[in-house]
Amino acid sequence: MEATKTNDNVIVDVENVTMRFNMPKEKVDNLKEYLIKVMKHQVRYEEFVALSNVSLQVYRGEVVGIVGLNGSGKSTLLKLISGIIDPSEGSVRTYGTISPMIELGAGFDFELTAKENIFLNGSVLGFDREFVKAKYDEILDFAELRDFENVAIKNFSSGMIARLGFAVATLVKPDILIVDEILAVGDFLFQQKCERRINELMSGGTTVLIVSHAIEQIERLCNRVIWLEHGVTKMIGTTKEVCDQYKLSER
Amino acid sequence: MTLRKKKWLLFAAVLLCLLISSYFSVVRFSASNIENYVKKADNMVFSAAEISTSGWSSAEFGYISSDEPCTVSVSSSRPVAVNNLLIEGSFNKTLTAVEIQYTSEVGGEMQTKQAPVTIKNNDYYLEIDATVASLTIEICDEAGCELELDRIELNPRGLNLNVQTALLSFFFPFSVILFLVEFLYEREGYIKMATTLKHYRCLLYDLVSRDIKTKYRRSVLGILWSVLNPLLMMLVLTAVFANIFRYDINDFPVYYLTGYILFNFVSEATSFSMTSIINASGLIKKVYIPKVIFPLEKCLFSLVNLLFSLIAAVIVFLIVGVTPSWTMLLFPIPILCLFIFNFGFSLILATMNTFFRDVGYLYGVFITLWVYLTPIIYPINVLPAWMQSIVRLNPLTHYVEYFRAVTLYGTLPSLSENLACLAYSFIFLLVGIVVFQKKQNKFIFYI
Repeated sequence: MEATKTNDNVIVDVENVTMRFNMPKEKVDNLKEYLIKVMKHQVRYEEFVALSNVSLQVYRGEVVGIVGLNGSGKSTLLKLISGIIDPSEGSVRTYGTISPMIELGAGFDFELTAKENIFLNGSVLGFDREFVKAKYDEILDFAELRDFENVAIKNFSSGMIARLGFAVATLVKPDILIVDEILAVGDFLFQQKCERRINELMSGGTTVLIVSHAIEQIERLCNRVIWLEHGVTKMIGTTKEVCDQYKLSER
Repeated sequence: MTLRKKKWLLFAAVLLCLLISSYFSVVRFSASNIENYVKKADNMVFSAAEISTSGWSSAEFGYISSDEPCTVSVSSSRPVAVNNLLIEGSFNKTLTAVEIQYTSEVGGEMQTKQAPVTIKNNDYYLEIDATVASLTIEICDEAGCELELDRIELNPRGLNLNVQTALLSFFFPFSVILFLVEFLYEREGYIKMATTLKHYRCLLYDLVSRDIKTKYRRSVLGILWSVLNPLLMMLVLTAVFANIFRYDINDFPVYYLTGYILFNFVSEATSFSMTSIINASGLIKKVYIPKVIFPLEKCLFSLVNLLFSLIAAVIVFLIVGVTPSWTMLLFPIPILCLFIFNFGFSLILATMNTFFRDVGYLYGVFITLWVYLTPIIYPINVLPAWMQSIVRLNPLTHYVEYFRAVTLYGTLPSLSENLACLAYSFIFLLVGIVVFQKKQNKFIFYI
């Protein structure tokens, strides 16, 4: 599904974003050391630029892949878009609800049961209780955890937790879905199921941002790809153009 | 440019607040407002000129002797809060109760009060605790009474009411101005904080119920512990204090319990909130959630615990046989004020602790100190005067006393008590919000 690229249709607008981290040379997290360092003028920071001057417009209904080597700033970009961190310079604007899947099951309490966790994680993602209640059965079925409804999830396997996490995060049709390498979890059957679900969401008009090292997955799912290298945009373009170049560079 | 303007605004605010506080603490007590006169029997010599006074706060007499009923009167053009009064001098009899006549308004009707007298270091102290515009103290009411009166001082040591008035009248307007200035310059952040909080109220509810569920998971009695715990603590301490230290407190169990559950509310809410940001690091790093949720949630959780503890209080009230009065219905007021205080204080602590984990350890020591600076196990009047003034500066004292006043004694706290409670709550709330809002974007790099 190719989205029309007009300005009204921009759903994620990343404009000249630079993200700098101040990394203290030594980790100082107690008051005494800090005060001594301040007095000696020794609090030194090393600046680390995770992203520099990156711009990206994502249009409604697009599926955008983000590729790049480790440490190229992919996850930082996703965190900026989800609003977890604020950019040092530039601006990030999003229009619509975001479902971030930076890690599956973030916010699960391992002492609680699957049922309680579904409600808890639903509200972590900003859904109200009635809504989660209505979708409850659908979530359980999707995660294939009907038999474990009342088991504390500390007894779950990691695959089960990932399934539950994915099911909750996609329970609603968000305007923007952010996926950070989470499709690599679970067995291949579940991975296929996840891909089907993402495809379903996409055909329903959800905008998806995917980070993945599996280039085939990107090729299968995305309309457009942005390639980051050391925090700089190396290339933005259609999937084919960018992926071909990327694969060439990998060799 | 705007930043510089903001600094000037805050600087101006500090000056303004200094003015306000000096007005309340100095000008209102200045000598120009005072008119001193001494009524006496015919043959007595009193000279107003001999009275050297710094106004309301003290009246000194060179020499006074009397063998007839004698009264001393002071009045002011403005009402002044007086909580106690010192009479210094030597008397040929021991004063037991002194009659005080006072009005709360200028030119108002005189009310009479029999003030109990406490003697400390040969000085006589009277407790009044009222707003007073003019005051007549009947020092001796019978003939043949000889006295050499050196000094009458309102709010002696000058500290207990004046320092508090000065501090509150500085910090309260200052915190309001600080908040308004911050709001003016960073409006978006604060509006976002409020709207997202509304949007995430479901999460708030879920987190509180999660905490309640996990707190008592695997214990046989479950939530009943919230009721049992204060009851058992009360039994232990009543046993200790009824037999080892003997204080002159009627109904020690209820006296202690009311203080204990409120203090517990504060210590629980603040200690949990302090680490709430660090403990939620898994969430904060992965999903966007307004961070203010976490301290707020811990405060709400402690509030729920407090409500269960109140059941314990009701049980003990019934057993001991506290006289019911309609003022008991006012109990939510001190609790609400305390909740606001807790929340504000928690925001400050959570922010500090995220950057410096030392705060957590220091706070453990501080809590221990705080217990002893709050009249929980002892009545405030067993302390020497200078200690009393320090204890009165402790915000918790006011909440605890307020709570006891409405539940145990069936009295209505004075206006100044009400204002003190509110002022402490809002100072901490507003400062907490500003501190938290300014620093919350940096949290993620420290957790």
